[in-house]
Amino acid sequence: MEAIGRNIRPEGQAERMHKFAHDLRNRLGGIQQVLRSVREDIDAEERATLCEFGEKQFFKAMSDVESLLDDLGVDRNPALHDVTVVRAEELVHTAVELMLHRTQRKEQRTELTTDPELKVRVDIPAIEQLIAGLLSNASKFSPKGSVLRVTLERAGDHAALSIEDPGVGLTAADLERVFTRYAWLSSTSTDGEVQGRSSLARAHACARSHGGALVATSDGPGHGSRFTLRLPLAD
Amino acid sequence: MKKIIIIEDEAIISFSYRLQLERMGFDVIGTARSAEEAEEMLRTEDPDLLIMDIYLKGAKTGLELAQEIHRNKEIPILFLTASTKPEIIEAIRALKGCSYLAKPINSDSLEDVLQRFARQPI
Repeated sequence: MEAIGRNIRPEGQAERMHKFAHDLRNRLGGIQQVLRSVREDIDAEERATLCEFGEKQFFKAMSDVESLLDDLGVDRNPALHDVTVVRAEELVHTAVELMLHRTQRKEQRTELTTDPELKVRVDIPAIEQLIAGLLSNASKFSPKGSVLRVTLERAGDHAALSIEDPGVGLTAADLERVFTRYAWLSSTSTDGEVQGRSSLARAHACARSHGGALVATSDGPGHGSRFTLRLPLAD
Repeated sequence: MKKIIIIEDEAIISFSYRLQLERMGFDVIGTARSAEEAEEMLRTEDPDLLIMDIYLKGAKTGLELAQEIHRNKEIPILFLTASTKPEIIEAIRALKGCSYLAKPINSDSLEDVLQRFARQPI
């Protein structure tokens, strides 16, 4: 019998769609309840609780959609475009500059240690966006006035770029889901920024499509986090 | 202050983008709901950036509109799209000066990409 997608066989398709529809109705129902409740005369704390619940329901709904697409084997990763050899240091400098609006607002300093010799073959805008996204997260989840450490070094036949922040950190459960699209993580941003880290799943896929990897580590809540991007060195 | 036109067929969404953009310090000089409305607006307005949905009211898609606009003016375009079809994303990236953000849009991602635009062409 021919399989539909990677993980769903024809006999399981209706059951999978019923489950998806059930979960999605529940999430949308939760959001509808929030929209009704916030019109009522409620205090600020109740409103904040409702809004957080609504946002969690939204993330769960988005996660349900992504899981269904995964189960169906639907490709959402665009091909690389104009792959070019470039000094990795240039990509880092550009990304740091692109995030100045965020780091300056929080009076954060970016401490750079880079190896100017390392060259990589990449889709430049895609990797600049990836690095900028990692810096954006490092800033959002770290306190005002903190130092973000960016290190670019050779690791065998790869360039390894680490972005280390002294921020809120990640739990063991967060680390398991940090590259899952629309996973709701326990950590909270430090200055009212958007809570989600949905760009990390795209970053992870982008690193893999370059033949590299993106890994996250943390010593736990309150102990910061480190994201390391590895890209193959160009010949 | 950078001038932006929003091209989005859903009025409430367009209104929401406008609020966010103005809070970030951009000047939203117009909103259009269709390719035809956008073309009319571009006869008199000279924006620094267009923010555009892929699927619009009317006959043309955002991609078709972008190709027509670029025949006359090289205006950077930021597409906001709910599509994750690789061929759509690849078509956007093949257009000169165009970039995209995947919907649902969060204000931090929008600000990051617009700050990039403010510092250098998209």
